[in-house]
Amino acid sequence: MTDQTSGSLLRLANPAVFNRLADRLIAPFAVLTLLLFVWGLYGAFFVSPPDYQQGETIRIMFIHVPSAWMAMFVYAGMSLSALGTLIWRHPMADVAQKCAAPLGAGFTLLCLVTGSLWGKPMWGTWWEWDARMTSVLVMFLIYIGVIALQQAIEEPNRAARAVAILTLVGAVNLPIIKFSVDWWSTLHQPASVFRMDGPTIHGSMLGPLFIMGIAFLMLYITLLMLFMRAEVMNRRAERLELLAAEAD
Amino acid sequence: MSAFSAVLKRDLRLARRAGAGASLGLMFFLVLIAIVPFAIGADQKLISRLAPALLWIAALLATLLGLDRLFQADEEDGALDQFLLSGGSLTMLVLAKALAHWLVTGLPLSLAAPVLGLMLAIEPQAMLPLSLSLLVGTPALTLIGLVGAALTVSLNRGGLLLSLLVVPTAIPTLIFGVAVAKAAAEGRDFAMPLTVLCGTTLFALAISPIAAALALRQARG
Amino acid sequence: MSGQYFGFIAGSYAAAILVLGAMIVGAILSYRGAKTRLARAEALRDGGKAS
Repeated sequence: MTDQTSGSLLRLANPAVFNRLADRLIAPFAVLTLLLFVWGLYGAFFVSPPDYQQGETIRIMFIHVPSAWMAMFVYAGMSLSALGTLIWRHPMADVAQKCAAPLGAGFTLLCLVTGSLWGKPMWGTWWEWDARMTSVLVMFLIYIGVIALQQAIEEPNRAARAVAILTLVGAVNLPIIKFSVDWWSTLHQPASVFRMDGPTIHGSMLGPLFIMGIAFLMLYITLLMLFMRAEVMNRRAERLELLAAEAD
Repeated sequence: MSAFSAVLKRDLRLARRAGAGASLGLMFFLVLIAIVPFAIGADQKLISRLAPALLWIAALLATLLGLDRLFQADEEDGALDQFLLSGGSLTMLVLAKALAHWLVTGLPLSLAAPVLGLMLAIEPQAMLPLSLSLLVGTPALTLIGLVGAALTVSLNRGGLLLSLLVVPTAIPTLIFGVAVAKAAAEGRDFAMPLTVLCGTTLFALAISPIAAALALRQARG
Repeated sequence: MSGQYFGFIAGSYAAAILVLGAMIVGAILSYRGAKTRLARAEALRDGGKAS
């Protein structure tokens, strides 16, 4: 009994600490994100020159590449949260994972869409089954699977642990999928496609790209805090509603 | 080990009762192959070129079929609880179920593949490699599928969700399985993809039972 | 910014605004929704105690 109460106290204490921290940080982070976006976009449009090969379309890179970074970064974070859920039963880890998945899926979708919009003028096709795009597509499917499983299981604890296992299975498999897709792509390489294996990025592009990357990261952290804050409140409200229903 | 064989025997017996066991999966496989010409036309050359891919996709679909009931039936009738109470290892249970599932789906499909390959006008020298690739690769499909089945055990209609979870993870198996058959059909050396295919199966064998057992335990609360 | 690729660049940035915007609006809405829900639940609890 005492064990149980101290456990539930720990559970309560932890989100409370998070709440205080998040409430203090959300507003400054939002401002910082905005400033970084302004700075990064200014650099992307006015500082960086058109690429000698890709011309003005290089401006798509400033969204496309940070989205790709975030797609991977968010999944890595989700895997860490999954470990937190399974090993330490950390209550906030499960909240973090639940809130991160839709954001990660959003970044992955943006990466796919901008890749397609970049591919059309550069490769002459909206969709190319090349290794990178295919890998990102698979990653998107895995994100969708995680979200779907999350929503399908009603009991929150059960859902959290099932999703954690799925996330880790996905994390273990992603490198294998990446490897196999790369191998498959060299086998099926179409001849007509213009290939760019890491275009030599001009120094004046690297700066704005980097700033855009940080802007995306800050946006992610801000939104994650907002979503997590909302989730914590929702869970508390749910508990209260349950108590009220029991009292009746 | 006795628990292992008990589960294996029970599952095989259940499969046999529930509609002639192995032959049902096989019929599904046959139906899928039979509709192919209707979908892509009776162009023998085209069908022959697509045959390895078609057989592999059919194998994947046939494996997915019925996976959602694999643990659910046991959960509903209390067999899972019984097994846990008797102190059995969940990993063993998963392995036994995987073996039983493979014996009634993957194995018959692999053996029947050459016959269906004939219907799809596959190159003669690719028959045995195709069969071999299915023999080596379908256990991986079953094992991956079992993780999905364990994750969705508490869901009433988990079938679609299960496919969504399982199919992306099955991509490497599909790539290398088809690569073996294609290389053989074009008269190339297929040792490399076959080796990697064995690797994916061994990897699935190492990871999946643990993950599935973990998922089952979590689902019990 | 004119040229033959204008549409693609504009499309990319429009997609970014749509996707990131949806994420931002979603976050704000869910935050506000949770806040009202919690406030209502707390009011209900306190009201229940009083009666």
